[in-house]
Amino acid sequence: MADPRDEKVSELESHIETLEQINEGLRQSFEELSQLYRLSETIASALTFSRVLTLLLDVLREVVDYDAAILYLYDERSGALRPNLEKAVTPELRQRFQVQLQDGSLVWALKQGRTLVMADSGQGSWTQGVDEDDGGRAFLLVPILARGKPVGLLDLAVPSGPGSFSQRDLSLLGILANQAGISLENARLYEAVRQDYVDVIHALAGAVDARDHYTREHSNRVSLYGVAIARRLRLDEAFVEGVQFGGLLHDIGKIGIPDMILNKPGRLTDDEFQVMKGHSALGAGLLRRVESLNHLVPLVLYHHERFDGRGYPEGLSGKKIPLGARILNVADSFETITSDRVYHRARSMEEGLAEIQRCAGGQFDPEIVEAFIQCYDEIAHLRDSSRGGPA
Amino acid sequence: MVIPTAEMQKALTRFKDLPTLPDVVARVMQIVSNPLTTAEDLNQVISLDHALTFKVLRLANSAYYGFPKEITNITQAVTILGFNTIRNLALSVSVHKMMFVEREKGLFSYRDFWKHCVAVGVCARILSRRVGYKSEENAFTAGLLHDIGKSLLERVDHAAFIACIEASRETKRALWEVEQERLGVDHAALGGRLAENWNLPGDLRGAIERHHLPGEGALDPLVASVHAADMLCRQQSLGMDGDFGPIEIAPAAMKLLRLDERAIKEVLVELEHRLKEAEEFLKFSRGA
Repeated sequence: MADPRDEKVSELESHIETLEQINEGLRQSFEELSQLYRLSETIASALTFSRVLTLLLDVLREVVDYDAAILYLYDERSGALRPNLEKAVTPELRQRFQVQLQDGSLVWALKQGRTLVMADSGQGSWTQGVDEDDGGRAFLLVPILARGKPVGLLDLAVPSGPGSFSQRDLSLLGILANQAGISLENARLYEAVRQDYVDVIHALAGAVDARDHYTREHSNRVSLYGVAIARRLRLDEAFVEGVQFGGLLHDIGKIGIPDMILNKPGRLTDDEFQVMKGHSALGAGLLRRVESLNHLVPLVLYHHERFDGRGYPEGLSGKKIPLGARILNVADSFETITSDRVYHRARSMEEGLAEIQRCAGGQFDPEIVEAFIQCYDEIAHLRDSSRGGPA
Repeated sequence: MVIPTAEMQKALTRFKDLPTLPDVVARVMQIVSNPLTTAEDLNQVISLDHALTFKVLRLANSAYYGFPKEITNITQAVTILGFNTIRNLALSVSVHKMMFVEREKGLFSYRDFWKHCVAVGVCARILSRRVGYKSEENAFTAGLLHDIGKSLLERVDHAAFIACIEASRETKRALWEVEQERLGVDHAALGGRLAENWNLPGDLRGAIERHHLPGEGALDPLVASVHAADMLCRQQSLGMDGDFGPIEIAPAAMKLLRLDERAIKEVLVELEHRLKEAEEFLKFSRGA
């Protein structure tokens, strides 16, 4: 007769074994969750549409070992899928990918909104060589959705048979693709808001140019020249963008200058000139009220300061004048010299260049004049191509 | 879960010998609930039953799923239509064979009854999809199986069940009310029992048990879809389920499913179209 204690012991042992299995399962789940979280974070960090797509392809590589991939975007109007990105697609594989696009499998998968696995449609019938065989190749079709709406589809060629993926593998892919869908939606929104921001800046610049008949296109050109100089100085992109928008808005304060002064034919009296000089402070005051334009205040406020300290409104000199304002001062002056004004006819580009060079160290920062000379050809070209543009 | 009353408990003892699912399908239910299961694992289980394999493949290739190419084996069916779909198809095929096959005599037409169930499944899927429910496949299956308790009632006591239908027709009262009164238990509670015994997923069981929306409780989209689909299909006289009670979609379900007159019209148009695609499911009853 068996010892009842032996039974107890073996029962306990089997309990321990079960617990160990559960523990191992939990540990795996935890690792997968951590991985999923990390990968989702990576995808979510991307701000632009194309960056999200590139990251998705990179990140998925950590989840499935794919040989090649094509990422399609869904065109809502035509209902078609168009290839946008691809990775390691050989001519032989391209044919297989192509077949799936043509026979409707991809569109069908997109409609299901669920990750599915297709056998390799290679030689002969697409059904051959897939049965119980786990070898060979398969394609993973991963729809990308944002708020339930199709955005695109990822087609991955994988080096294992279609039957070898577990439910968890497939749902992991789906979760990451959904994360990408949300990020794509965000990127689209971000890019739209960004475009609105740029449009509003252009509209504001246009408002000034519309009032001051002699300065049509002036703000736009100052912006273009300023960007050329800033790039030549190897300033970072954020700074260059500040110069671009600062250039567009540098005269925004002229909106507050009375018409009879702004558009007066002939020279301004001293009093009138004092009023006119107020435009930089007026402009800065306007921009101060808009959070997203605050960083442009120094450029606008000080764009009439001179390197020798004889400018306005504060008479700052040398490097005390913000760099962006020093750049805009050169760009603004060159543009004014080479354009028709109430008080002078346009002078030639060469004359303009000579005038800028002559004033280096006086009105202008010599380092910026140096950069201006280096990109003079580019600026002359910009001047020509923006001539006769709309007001 | 609906808590049975003491009376109901007693009545339920009459139905204690519940039919059991075939081994293959029970195994399918079990392995699909494990996230590590692969398509190949599922294939190995289903392929043991040739008749089941044949029927599942025929449904997988039907217009209802509309996959553009032929699906020739279970592994493919799983990787293309999904684990849940194939689990649900295997379940539906088996349950139909056990509970819906027409018997020699009887005043209850299993053919019309199955037609009602298919229509409710198709309609529940449409309704759940409209509100972005996570598994429209489960809505379809919940619809197919929502009245499974009626089959059990009919099989256990044909005469008593027919008497309930007659009473419902005469008094215009809901069949489940009459059942409760005369038998002490209604088909929804019995269906819930079956679902529990068969280890059906909780959401399917909930929809079977609660499709008349008893009590207060939180309403979920699956239950609401099956309830509304049941009403719409009865109103459209799609099939026949033996119920002559009032036809009205509960306001809470209308709200949850974002239904109004116009939306219902849209649903009915889609239903007509999708029912044609679901033809293969009706063929079940013709001894296919």
